Amino acid sequence: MPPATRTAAVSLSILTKLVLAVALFLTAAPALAQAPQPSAITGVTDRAAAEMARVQRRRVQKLAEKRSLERTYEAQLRALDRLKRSRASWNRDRLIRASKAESQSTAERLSRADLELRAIDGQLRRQRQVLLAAIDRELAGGPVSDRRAALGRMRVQVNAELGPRVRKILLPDDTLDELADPEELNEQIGLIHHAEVELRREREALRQREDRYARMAHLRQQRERATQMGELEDEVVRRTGRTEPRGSGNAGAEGDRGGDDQQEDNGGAPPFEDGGDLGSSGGNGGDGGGTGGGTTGGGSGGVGEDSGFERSSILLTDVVDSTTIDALRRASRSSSPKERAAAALRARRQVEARLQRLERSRALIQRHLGKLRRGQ
Amino acid sequence: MTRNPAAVVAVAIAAASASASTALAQESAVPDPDRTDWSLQLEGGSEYDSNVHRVERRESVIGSPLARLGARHRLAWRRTPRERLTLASHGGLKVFTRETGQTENVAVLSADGGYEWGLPARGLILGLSGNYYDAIPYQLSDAEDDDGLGRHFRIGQGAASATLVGPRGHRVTALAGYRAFHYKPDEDLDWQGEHVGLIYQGTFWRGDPDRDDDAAAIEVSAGYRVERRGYEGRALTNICEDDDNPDVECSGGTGFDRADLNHSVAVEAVYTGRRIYSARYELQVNDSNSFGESLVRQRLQLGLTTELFREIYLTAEATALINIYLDPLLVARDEQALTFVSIDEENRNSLALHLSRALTRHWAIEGRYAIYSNEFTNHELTFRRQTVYLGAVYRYER
Repeated sequence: MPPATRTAAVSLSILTKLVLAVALFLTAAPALAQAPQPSAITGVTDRAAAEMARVQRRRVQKLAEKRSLERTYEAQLRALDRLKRSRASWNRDRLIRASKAESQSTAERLSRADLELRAIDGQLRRQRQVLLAAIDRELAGGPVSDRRAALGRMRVQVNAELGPRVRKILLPDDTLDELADPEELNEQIGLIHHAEVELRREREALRQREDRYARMAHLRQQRERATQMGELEDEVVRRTGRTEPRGSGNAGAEGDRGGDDQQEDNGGAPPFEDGGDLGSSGGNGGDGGGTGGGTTGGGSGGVGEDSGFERSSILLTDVVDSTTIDALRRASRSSSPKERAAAALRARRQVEARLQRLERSRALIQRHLGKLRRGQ
Repeated sequence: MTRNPAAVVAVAIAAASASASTALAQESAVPDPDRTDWSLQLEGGSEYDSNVHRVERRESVIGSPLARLGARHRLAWRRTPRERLTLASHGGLKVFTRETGQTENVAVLSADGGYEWGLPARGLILGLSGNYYDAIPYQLSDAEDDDGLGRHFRIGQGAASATLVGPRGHRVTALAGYRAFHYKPDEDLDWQGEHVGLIYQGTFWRGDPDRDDDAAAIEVSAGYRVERRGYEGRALTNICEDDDNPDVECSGGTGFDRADLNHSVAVEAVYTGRRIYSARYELQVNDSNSFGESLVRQRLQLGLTTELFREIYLTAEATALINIYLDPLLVARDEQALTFVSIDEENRNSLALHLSRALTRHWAIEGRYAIYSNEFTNHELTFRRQTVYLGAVYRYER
């Protein structure tokens, strides 16, 4: 057997093994992918919730213990202080030494309690993450409506505890009560003004996000378009039939491959194949081609998570409609800059509308207040 | 100790799947509603090609203007939050205005389809995909015939894939499929065969969106693919002594079918911020049982996309390609193929600049300049080609 043929035979053997391994993987994947039974998923969530509650109880106990120690320590320090101010004597010095030793022992116990509390806090944080994952997993399985609602509430609560404390923007009553006295109106104007300030801040944050992601989406679109143009002008040199009877080096059989006029090759694939198979992000753009990411809502070749959207969805709970809240939540997990820009734009427009309404109401109340004051 | 590789693979997959499920579940906590996105793009323009036939002999170089037309369509449909169907099609035309360029006229039709099924509980996405690409020759006049040496072909493939999704967008995809290639001028060069591959995609680094206005990210991907290509034609062998100088007559037929193994490894990094920077390296090894068909190909691409001024966007891409031939390669130096030059390696470089500016929400004007050359190797073969394009594109999305 010629050496070249032997090499090819060995290579084919390796390929056969590789094919078998991937076939095994693809065969095993659906079996592995069999989703656990709903009751099993529910059980996991409940166990995670129970475990989190247990850690929370431990934290409460440890916190109570720490506070008790703090009170003891303060009492001991006060007693020590009293002793120090008393008349000097051998007995006083003995008592001071004993009191000092006692307070030092309490301080050490307090320090240990602090460390334990910190460890419990870390444990609690991890447990909350586990619970959050379990909730998401159960939600993804499509539970019944009651269970879904309960899980949704639990998720919001756990999520809020996990992240930095974010409170929704409270919208005050902006209707004019003509029977209200000037003090009440003044207080109402103050509340409206406070809400306006918060809404303006949020509007600015949304505008920044909108600009940023719209710019990214546009850049990606430009890159994708340039790649499309390049597809027709592929530069790969692909020579064939170099020793065939029709002769090698013929103009028709060599030269670079055009994407649209590719000849037989040693990598013979359409332009989107050559790179596409190996995950080139150039061919189809990282934006999912305007499709908003992959099946998972995640997807790579995109941009990282932006928790700002999640925060906005909490801040603007009372300001924008529920579909916009959903869009903000999706945007925080989406890999598509276009989807994020659209969500930010949608939320910003609703924030602006609410701001205008508040400004109008405040002006109306201020005018009424002015009239009242002039009347007095 | 003897281990069963299949069991090891299965256990590894199960473990990876278990760890990935949490990440995927988190990602899909708020499923997208049922929706359809689609886009339509129409493009057209004029181009000048300085080397229509892409030849390396200076005396045969012919330039010609040409018209380019194209239409693209994309559709993505989420039947349920876990399922996604995608379809894309492309039709294009390249028409040379001069008689001498008629053999280079081509019509292209391509279609892509894919189905993805997400299994959040397992952190897994299963996919099926297929595509077809056809480069069809046509001539507007009775110019010289294509004499069987054109660059027209068709290719189709189907593949199944399984993607494990890890935390923070890390993904590993295994795929397996089958591909068939038909080279229209010469059936001996038709091939078909299966391929398998493994791809990793992930985010290497990302800025903090709360602190960094760019909120930049660096995405990386790496993959390996191997493909068996069983050819219609027979393998060739070297019938000359190894010490002999390469000669056209040295190539002799064998009784074996030609079979190649094509390996491909690629690594890519893309920085997305105020600008997009990209770098991609690809190594291909074609291991053939036919004399003169084995080669090593390396390709490096560097790219930049940025806004210049007044909403004019520039995308620049530089590519360097080096082919190393494992057997001496004979290349004809004249049109009648009477004299040959033997080469062991050659390269092809290119620089492409694409400028674009939106005119309205849907319309944009664009220009492109590209230069192709072989600067670093084989001074016996001088290749130079330049193209200049000016056109417009219409894009509608919903």
